[in-house]
Amino acid sequence: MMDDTNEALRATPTLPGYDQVLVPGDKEYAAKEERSQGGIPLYPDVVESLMELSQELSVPLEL
Amino acid sequence: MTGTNQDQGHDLISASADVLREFAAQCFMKVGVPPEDAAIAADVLIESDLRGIESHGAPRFRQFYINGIKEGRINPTPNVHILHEAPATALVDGDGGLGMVVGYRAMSVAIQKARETGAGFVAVTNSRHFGISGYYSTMAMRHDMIGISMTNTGPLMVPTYGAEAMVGSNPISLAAPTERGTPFVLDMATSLVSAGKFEVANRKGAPVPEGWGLDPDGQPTPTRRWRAARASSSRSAVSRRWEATKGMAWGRWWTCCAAFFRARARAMLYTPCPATSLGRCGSTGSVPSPTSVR
Repeated sequence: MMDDTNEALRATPTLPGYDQVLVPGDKEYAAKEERSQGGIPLYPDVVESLMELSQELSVPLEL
Repeated sequence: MTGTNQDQGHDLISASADVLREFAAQCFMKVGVPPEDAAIAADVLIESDLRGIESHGAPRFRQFYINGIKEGRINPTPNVHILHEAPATALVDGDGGLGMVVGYRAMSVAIQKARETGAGFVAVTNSRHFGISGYYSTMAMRHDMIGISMTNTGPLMVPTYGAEAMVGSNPISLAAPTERGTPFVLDMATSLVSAGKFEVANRKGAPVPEGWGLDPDGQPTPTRRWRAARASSSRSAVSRRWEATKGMAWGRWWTCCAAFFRARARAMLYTPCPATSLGRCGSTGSVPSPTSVR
């Protein structure tokens, strides 16, 4: 049943400017696929906080 | 480093999930978390980054969790145990441990009960921030079950027409397996956006879209910084008045459920979430059931 409703929703036309209709979970699964391959993008302040933590706890981190 | 790209003028560094997961686990161990728990917590943390829910992953690692342990708000070596149980229900005491570890163990109990009886309902007390709700619902989903996971937060939302933040952005996640294509996974705050989305906007230096937040006069706060808003007024709130009605009702419903589950499971152990501190939230509830309805 869940398959049928997901597929029925995905098969409907999109609004102008969009490639595909999304159902809950689609965005997250696409992100996971992309980030598993290409890595997780981190903002400079996040990198900084991780590097500080690396020093503070003496846990090596090479980004 | 696996590469860089740009976002709104910021140079982003792409880090491998494996490297980040291992780093997080090692850091957790350094502050006294046992290896098995450290691996669980690190996996929940990095899973949120992998799913693109960047409000809840690595950016919060130090402040929420490592500092939480160092400052005594989180117990690194909790005795997570069942306080009370029936064939299909349990009340789990998290002993102040990392919410990710407590949530993982509580959902594991729910899955086991669902396997044995057809449904498992587990409420949790005395836990801490558990990261993304969707991790736990999808745990059940991987066992071919419907997974439901919910928790509460401190007060962030105004009630309908109210000017004071009273209701948590209490998230809810529902996951159901599919045979073809990607499964159904809903993972949402009951406010317009989660508080973490304010953190992300601040990080990017981007204005907060109109409608996300209110000032004490009920006016939208498009550029107000979340932390400043929190500090300057306890009445600052996530969500707008009109459109938040449905989300507020959801959030309120879940507050009631949390109290009900805990009270019913064992009346003496009803422990409402301290209403003023995000760091002391209790994660609550997991309801997997076999997918005979699929």
